[in-house]
Amino acid sequence: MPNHAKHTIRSGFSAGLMMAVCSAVAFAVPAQAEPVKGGTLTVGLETDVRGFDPAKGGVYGISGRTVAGAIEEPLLMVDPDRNFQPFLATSWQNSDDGLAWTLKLRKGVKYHDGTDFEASDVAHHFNRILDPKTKARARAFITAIKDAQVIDDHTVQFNLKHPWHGFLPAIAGRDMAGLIESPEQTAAGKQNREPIGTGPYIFQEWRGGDRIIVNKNPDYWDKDKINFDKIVYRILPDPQTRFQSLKAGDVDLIWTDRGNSIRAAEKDKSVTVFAQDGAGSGLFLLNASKPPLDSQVVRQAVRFALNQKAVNKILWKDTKNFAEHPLGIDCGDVAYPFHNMAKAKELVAQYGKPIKLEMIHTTTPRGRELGEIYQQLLKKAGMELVLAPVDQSILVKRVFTNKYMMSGWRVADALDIGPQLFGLSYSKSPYNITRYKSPEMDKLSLGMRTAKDPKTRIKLQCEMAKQINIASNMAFGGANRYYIVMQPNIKGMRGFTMGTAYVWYMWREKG
Amino acid sequence: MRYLVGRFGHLITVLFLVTVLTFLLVNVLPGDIAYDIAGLDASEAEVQAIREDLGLERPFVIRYFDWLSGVLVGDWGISYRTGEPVTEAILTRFPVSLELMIVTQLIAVLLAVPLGVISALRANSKVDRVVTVTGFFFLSVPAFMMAIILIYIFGLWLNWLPVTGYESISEGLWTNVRTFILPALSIALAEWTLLTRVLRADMIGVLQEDYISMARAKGMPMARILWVHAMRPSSFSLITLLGLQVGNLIGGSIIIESIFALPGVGRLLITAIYTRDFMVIQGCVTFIALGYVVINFGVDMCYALLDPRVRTARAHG
Repeated sequence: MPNHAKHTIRSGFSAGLMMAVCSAVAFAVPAQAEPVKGGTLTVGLETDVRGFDPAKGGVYGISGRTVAGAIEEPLLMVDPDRNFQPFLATSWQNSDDGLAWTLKLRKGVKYHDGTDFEASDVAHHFNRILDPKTKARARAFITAIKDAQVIDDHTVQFNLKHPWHGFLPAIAGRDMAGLIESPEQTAAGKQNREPIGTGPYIFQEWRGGDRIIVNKNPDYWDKDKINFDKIVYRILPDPQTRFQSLKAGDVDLIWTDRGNSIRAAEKDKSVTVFAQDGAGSGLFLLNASKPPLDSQVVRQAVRFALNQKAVNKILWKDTKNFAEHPLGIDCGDVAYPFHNMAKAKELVAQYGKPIKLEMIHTTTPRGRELGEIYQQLLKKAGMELVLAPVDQSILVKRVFTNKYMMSGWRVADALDIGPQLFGLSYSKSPYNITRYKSPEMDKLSLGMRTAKDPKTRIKLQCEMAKQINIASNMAFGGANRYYIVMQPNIKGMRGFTMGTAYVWYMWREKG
Repeated sequence: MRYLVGRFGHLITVLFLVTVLTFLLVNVLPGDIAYDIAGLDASEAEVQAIREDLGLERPFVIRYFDWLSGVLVGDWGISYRTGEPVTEAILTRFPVSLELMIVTQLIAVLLAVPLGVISALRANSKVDRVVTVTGFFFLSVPAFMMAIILIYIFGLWLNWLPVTGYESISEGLWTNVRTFILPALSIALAEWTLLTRVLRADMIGVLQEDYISMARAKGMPMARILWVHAMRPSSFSLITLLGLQVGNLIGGSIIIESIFALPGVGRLLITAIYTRDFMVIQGCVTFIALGYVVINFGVDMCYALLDPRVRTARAHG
């Protein structure tokens, strides 16, 4: 494949990028005024960061990416037109057999401690994650990479186990796998709590449970784009508190998923709301190994009884999009079983025996509400649903140890949903938590994983989503849609991915 | 001295029992931190690896004594979730809880003492009834509700005070204190009522004593009688209650810390409970128990200061 400085991927990754583009363009501030330098941006985060070391910090959520993205950087970035753009890597080339990617790195980039950014750092980062002894959670997302090899100081080669068109999305993500940390700081055992990267902001202080403070990097390689002198990330877990803090002017920008707050913010002229569609969705698991859910008739009866539209309205106040699949792009007809109570009753009658099911759900108000909605819907269709509220960690344990019948879950937003789809669908995958086994699905999964071009990969992902809808071992619901609410004088919002606003590019308008 | 040794022994016994009970309860709770650390996308093998890494497979007794031996040398373990040393996690957050505690009690005492004295002096009068009714009104409003009301009035409507967050004293004294006004008021507006009631009850009794009547007969000013002669013997219940309230606030202001996003010990504890971060739970509970016992020890010492008869009785064993 020829070298591309800009590699246009029309269909190579399944993120809500197409949707993200549309939303970002629709909502982005047109014709930005000249950025104003200086000042402090205060961001309200939902959770504290667990840590910045891939070996210890788990995986990033939105909060983690919003902080880490200011300090560390990925090799590529994705622009609003869905092109991969140079970032720490300036060019990339795939070998003819698809088993190797060679990347040229940007010269003159330095870490915050003054050391040079080189190919050995990239290789160290990825090889460390790939090493099973490190037990890095991010490894699960890049297992198709065999290793990373240093060619010269500014050239690194990634060797793959098989052709993999999820490679570019994997290295472009602002997550544990994509963001490159300082190897020296990691070796000193300090990266987790005192991160060093090449990013536009330098870590200053982390007061656990309270705030993380970063200062502008005066030697940043692209410093003209950076405006605020300081960013203060405040940890505000309670969504009401977070929203009140914004309204009171204590913070400049927050992320929220609370329908009431979003609707209130949309009517409030004193704040600005940005909405961004993403990939991923809610998921409802139907354990195909537990009778009577081992019957496709029963699973389909459940699917037709469920009503995603009603759930979106009641639980989310219509702040989420309808999801026929989690890919965030147009797949055409994916045989989504839209709510049809008559059909559900027909299938229950066809099954011919009493249907008694159990659903585990979290003890949160939302979890309970979801359980009650489903209980009512299934009752109408002639099925009995017993609710079993459990703690979040118990829910996860029961799903993984196959001690559940039905449960809520999610498909996380990602630049490429392929790995998750594979994990959930391939019969030998340890993440096949619905225990649904199908030779056809296995063939699709393996074909998707090793697809020779991005278009085929996406096509097969769509087909997998369709087969899931037909098999009804999982129900997609509530596509990810992110809401950033901010003070109206904060400018520079650009289209973002995976719910993570690029706060490091923003500025405060004068006046 | 014998008294002090006895009290110290009592302190150690209580602490030991609290730590054993907590360790036991936390370990029998359903839930598994390994799953929380591993996340939704982890396999069972990864979860098991985390459990082995954290030593969760070892017997409960071995884990307890392992932890206890560390505590005795100042090593309270590491947070399973963040890798932060537990002592560091608690000690960085304790000043916030301590400051909240102090400001809250200061407000409560500043309200309770004068109102308690007035109520006692004018027992069953209109003033007394107004104080009582007002007090019960504030007592009946839960702290979280009071917090929301105060946020709305002073934070959003008047915009006088910050709604959330903590600013350290290095940012400026007033900047620091103003972050505690609303949280402290949320709690103090209920607490002052209890303090007022006990002070009122004790003082009414004291004001009926013969020596008070004598002082009045001798023409001593009322203010002097109240604040010099009546206040001290009326303070025992007040101080006892104050001690209990202070101890309660060390980790008990969880809701207020959550609403106002104060990074105190209470918030640390509740996060640890949700995530089954055993080491942090254990550390927080031990710390809170220690605080409670120390504070009540201090209350006992106050009795001796206030009442010389207590000192004499103790001296004679």
